[in-house]
Amino acid sequence: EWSELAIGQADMMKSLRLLLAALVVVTAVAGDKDKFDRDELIEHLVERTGEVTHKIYEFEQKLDARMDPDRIRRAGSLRHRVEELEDPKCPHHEHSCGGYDHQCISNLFFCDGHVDCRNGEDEKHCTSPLKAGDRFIGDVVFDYCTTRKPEHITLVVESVNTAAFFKGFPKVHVHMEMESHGHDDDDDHHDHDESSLPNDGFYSFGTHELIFQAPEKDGLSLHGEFDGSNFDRFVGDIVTVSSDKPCARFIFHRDHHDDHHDDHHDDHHDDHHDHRDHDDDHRHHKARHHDKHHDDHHVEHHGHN
Amino acid sequence: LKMKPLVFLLLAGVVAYAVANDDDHGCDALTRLKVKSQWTRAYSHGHEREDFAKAVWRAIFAQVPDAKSLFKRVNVDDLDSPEFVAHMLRVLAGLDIVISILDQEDTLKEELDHLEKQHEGRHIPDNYFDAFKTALLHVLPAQLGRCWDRDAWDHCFDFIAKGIKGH
Repeated sequence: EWSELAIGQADMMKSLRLLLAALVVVTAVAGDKDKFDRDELIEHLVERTGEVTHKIYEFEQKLDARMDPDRIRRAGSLRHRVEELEDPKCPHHEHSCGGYDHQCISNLFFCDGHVDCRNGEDEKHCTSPLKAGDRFIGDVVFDYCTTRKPEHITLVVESVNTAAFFKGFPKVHVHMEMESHGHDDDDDHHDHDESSLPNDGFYSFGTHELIFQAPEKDGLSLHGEFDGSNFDRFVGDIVTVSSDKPCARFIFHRDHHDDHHDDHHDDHHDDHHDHRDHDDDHRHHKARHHDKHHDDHHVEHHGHN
Repeated sequence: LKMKPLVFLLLAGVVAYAVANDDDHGCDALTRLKVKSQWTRAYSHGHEREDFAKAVWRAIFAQVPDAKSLFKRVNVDDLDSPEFVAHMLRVLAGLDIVISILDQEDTLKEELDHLEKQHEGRHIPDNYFDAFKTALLHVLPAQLGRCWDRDAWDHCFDFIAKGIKGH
């Protein structure tokens, strides 16, 4: 692959630099007549070495820019959006191995310890994107079904447990924290009800989905889906267990603030997003706009199922 | 004074429930129907069924690698071999028969007795049955998503396993 080639080149650069350094040392030690000329020569060589080293660093930087994991991740997210628009590559209960050699394998086989894809991709990305202590803050997109009508849902990961004999589906225990906004302003004694629902579910490495049980009798449960590249954001649908159709949607973002307390405010969230995306206001709005399109597509997609 | 008959009735109800529970291990009529319908979705068909079976057996052998010695005859050393794939499907087909007649007491009794005889001579330790159950209870939710009832499967699997083990 090209990344290996680049690493090979970088190695070559390193040996070249060593060689130059050795040359300087050899020159410094060799001979002792014509001291004046020699000093000039050495000075010239050192200067030249410095220049070449600088060029090597510059080139390495260019290579690094092209292998920047963040850039690869962003391109992967974009690719995922296009793939969402295409017809599904694989039948139900199966997922693509990725790469240029098309192959579908059962979701059950991802990260189970056996290599099932010809390209081995099913066992290559098996670190859970969720770990105990992680927090995700979800902002509402639409909500036709919850009784609380929360503006935000905070998902707090309590524990992630992987069964040694079935590693592809780690069990996830979370708390869903939300503030109730179920009633209009005139009814303000209901406005500040806070809930924290414990909830059990699992993560699927094959589909990058988070699937939770319904925590309450209303049969509504959270279904999260990462895009497979960006594990700091997922689309969280509230679905009815019986129909599997989304009736509310929240876009969740990983909360990177470690010193975070339970008192988040709206302006705080905005700060958080701007910081994360390194965006100015304009681009921030644009990103939101794209989210919306993406989400509309999701509804349609589910609607056909 | 008025409360007394009510309390008695409630107690009688609890006792009756407990007795019924003891008999079928909580795998009661409604639970059986639930298990039946969830099984139909998980067991699926065609290629998907083969994958489901494979996932269950991989999870079994990951827990109790020694159990492989029981399946030498069906080429267990290569889990993807046609012989072992056939065997995996055969075993799930047996489970399919049992689950699909969970609501027909007499037929069910016959089938469980039949399976008990088949397993009798093979000296299968109880922990292999446990490994089978654990594997199934992990693969089922992965296959079914949120719409599955762990307790129902817990109770009904125990009931079926008891029938096959004979104790």
